[in-house]
Amino acid sequence: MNAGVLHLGTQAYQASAWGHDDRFEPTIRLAREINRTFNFVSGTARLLSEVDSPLLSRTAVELSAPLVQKIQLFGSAVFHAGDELAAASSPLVRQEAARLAVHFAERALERISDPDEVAMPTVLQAPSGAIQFEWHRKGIDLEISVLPSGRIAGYVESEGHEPREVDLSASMWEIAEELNAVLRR
Amino acid sequence: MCVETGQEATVPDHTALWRRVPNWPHWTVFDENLGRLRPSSIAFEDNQNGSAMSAFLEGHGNTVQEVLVGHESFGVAAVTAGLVRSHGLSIVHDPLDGLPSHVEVPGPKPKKVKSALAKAALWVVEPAGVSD
Repeated sequence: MNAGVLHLGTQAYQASAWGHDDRFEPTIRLAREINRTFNFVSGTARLLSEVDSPLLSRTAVELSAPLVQKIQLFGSAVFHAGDELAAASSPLVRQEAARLAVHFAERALERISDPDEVAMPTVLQAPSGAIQFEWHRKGIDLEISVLPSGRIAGYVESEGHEPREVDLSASMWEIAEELNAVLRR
Repeated sequence: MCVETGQEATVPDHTALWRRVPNWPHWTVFDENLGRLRPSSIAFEDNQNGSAMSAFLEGHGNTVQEVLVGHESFGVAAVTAGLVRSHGLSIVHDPLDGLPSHVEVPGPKPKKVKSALAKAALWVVEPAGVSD
């Protein structure tokens, strides 16, 4: 289905409003409907306004409606896994989790053309208040924890390799191979 | 049987340790590699109040139903005492009122250890609603 495109990265969009262009009206309507469906109007604004992301600095990123939906579902998993998740986590953790969610979405955008091919993680909240993303597939166990301190910790187990814990606060490059594998269905 | 708080539990390696696993916030993941639902590694963290991870010894005075009193929607996952010890952890008696089988599991729990316990854990009772 080609439902049109949505421009991201515009000033209007970053100001928590949809960028407006008549050509995109059908997609905007669809996106708003998706937002309503998932009770996610504020969540989308928060996801896209709290993060400093290359995705948002682009002036003309075009996303198909299904991909917008996929990103919003991802954000929904982060922000609406439950009221407890949002309420019990510090703003810093939520912000970092949002940054992470957009990072994953960007990776999906870069590498995977069909949004249905993106594998969502399980999102959990640890007793420490950390938010943890987990994938256990393709022989890989990947866990990424956004800690209350704001630090991002990764843990990877894969066949034929020693398990490793890595600090991902600055970069995801140390787990790029595994992340690309588990993100793809 | 009378045990003292802090006393090392000298149970055989095959003895099961039951760990309560909440269903909200949920601490379970579907592991495609194993083809089954299991506890997340976060289910094997120490308590945030500073006390060690708690568990219950199977066959030491409590049924699983008694362990779940007040936590009816929780699940119970089992790992063996031998597995716990193989990762350098201790099992220490910490009997509570009405729960003589309660133990604490002190010792360092890096991700590798928590992950190993989570992947080996088998459900005695699945948390409510997580398989829907």
